[in-house]
Amino acid sequence: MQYDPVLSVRNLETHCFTPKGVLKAVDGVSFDLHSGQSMGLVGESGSGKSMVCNSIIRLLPRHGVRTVGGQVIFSGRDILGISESEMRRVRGREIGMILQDPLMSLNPVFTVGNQVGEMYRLHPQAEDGRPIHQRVLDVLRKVAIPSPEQRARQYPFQFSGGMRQRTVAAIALAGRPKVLIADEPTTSLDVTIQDQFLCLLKELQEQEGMCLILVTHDLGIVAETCDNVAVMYAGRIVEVGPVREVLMRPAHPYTEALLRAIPKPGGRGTRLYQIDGEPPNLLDPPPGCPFQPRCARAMPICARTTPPMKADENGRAAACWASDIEEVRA
Amino acid sequence: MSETGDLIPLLELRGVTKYYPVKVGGFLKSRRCLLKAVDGADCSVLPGESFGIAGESGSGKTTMGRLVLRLEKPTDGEVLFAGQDIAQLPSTELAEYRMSVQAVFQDASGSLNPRMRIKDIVAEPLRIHMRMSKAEISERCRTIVEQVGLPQRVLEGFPHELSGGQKQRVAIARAMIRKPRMLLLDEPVSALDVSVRAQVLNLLSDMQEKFGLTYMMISHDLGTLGHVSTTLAVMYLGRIVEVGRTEELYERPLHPYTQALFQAMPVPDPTRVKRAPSIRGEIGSALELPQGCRFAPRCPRRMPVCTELNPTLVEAAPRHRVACHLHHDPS
Repeated sequence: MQYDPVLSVRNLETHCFTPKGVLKAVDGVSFDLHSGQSMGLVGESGSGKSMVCNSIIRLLPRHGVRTVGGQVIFSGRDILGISESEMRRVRGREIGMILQDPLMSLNPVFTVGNQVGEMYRLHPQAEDGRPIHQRVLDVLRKVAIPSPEQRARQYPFQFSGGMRQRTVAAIALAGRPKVLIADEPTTSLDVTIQDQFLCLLKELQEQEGMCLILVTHDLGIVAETCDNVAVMYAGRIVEVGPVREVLMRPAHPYTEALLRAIPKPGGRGTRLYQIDGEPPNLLDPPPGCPFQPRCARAMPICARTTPPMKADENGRAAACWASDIEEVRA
Repeated sequence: MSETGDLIPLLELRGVTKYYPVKVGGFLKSRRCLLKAVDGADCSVLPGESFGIAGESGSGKTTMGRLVLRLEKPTDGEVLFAGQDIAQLPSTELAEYRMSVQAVFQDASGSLNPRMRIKDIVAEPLRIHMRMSKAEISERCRTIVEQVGLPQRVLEGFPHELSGGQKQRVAIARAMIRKPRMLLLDEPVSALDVSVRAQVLNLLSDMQEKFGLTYMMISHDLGTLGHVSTTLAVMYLGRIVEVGRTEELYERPLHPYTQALFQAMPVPDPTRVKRAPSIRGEIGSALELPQGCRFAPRCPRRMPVCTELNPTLVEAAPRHRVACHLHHDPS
């Protein structure tokens, strides 16, 4: 691809400083996001996928967690280096965010209309001459909230789970962001509501030409919503590439194992492929490749040296000594 | 007659309802209402099978589990275990019933006492119900812990030292120690990561094979249910809308809700053509049930009769029953 990426994450490192030592929650993560692309960030709990998102928009806890290295290049500048007041103009307005639990992101004592309108009041540069109330109704309509005039006057507790998540999406979209980060947006929703929300998200993403980072633990959601996928394990991206390629021909044993471990209808009587053991304790990570103690294809070299990321010309890359990716040097 | 047709069901629900009286509305406008959590459920579970219950939140699937465990008594109808109504059991037989039906819940941390050692947690059912010597008890603990694939050293530890998957194994060990005939599994793997989930599901299927257990599994995850269950029931707002052999249901879902559920289920297959959701809106409230079929307000194939008459479960194919006017015999 010849165009400059909209968002480029280079060697991001975020560490947690705990009384027991330094925990490398994000350990050298790099990826590019081009205009209009959607990327799924997949991993199990503790793999660092949420930490990557929070590092990008710089919403880390004030104490104990710090981004210690790397760059996040957005519209030509490293947003890790800009001041907090400049960052505030980027966050919400240019990079939107949807979090897992919509109740946590909504204030219980303000009406929904008020909270959606806050975006327009806080970012006057997005002014287009119309009254705020009008624009709130427009954006609520866009996320398919029925009878927005009445709904805007209600409080979050009067909304169902799916409607709350739509409201959060409306707030995120109100700033017309270039990048939307959705961190497990459907985990608290039922499957039919999840389906509706993901379809809406995809539709809006295409309409607005946004980039989307979708954090999830469900490879099914990735298959249906994203163009690219990055699989994370123990703070690193172990495999990245176009969804079709990665899911059909996984190059990393962890991706392969994840796919085979998903219970499917009609699988009764057959044993599920299981990855033995548990994800590593990041305070005391295993030597070499972090997946090596659980890997079915581990070789002596895996326990000695961490495998580098090997990439081919189609944007497919994996960090595994056993992968058959033909490396190209630019 | 099908090959299982003459088996006597281990568990049978006959017209079971559970209504909760609730107050709704504000302080001055409050009125009494009935929340119809389960409203006329009929099903039977054969010995040795895995009976899955699928449904979204608010469908009444958990209440159904609580009725089977006799944590709740039904408002109406009967829950029969080995032919006996469990609501009528005298206390001695009830204790026996509780031994034969054990439960594993979603949140293992919540069901394990944080101040008890694992060995005490696992042995507690033995201490309560049986006269056994200390040596016998600790011997049983060691065997069961080995059977669920935990190292012996966890016995001396506390729940907080264990990972999510290990806690769930402890919960399974505790449920299994009295050698029950049936396990009620309420979202047993929902809180677990994919790699650990596979371990626990494999363990459950090993246990079933080894001890000839009957499972009743409640879940919202159709992938897990499809993998585990032999028979699957789909619930919507307190009613079973479709029930049948799992493969049959996946291949030929008859109820529009079942079809919508399967269609909405994300599948990690990039070649699958994704269709737009066939149903809109959300599950209604069990407080204000609609006239006629409960699914009618969201149903893409609604007919005039649907908003008037509530369809009953009828046999659409052998061992495949559905509650939908589309599949009713016109006669």
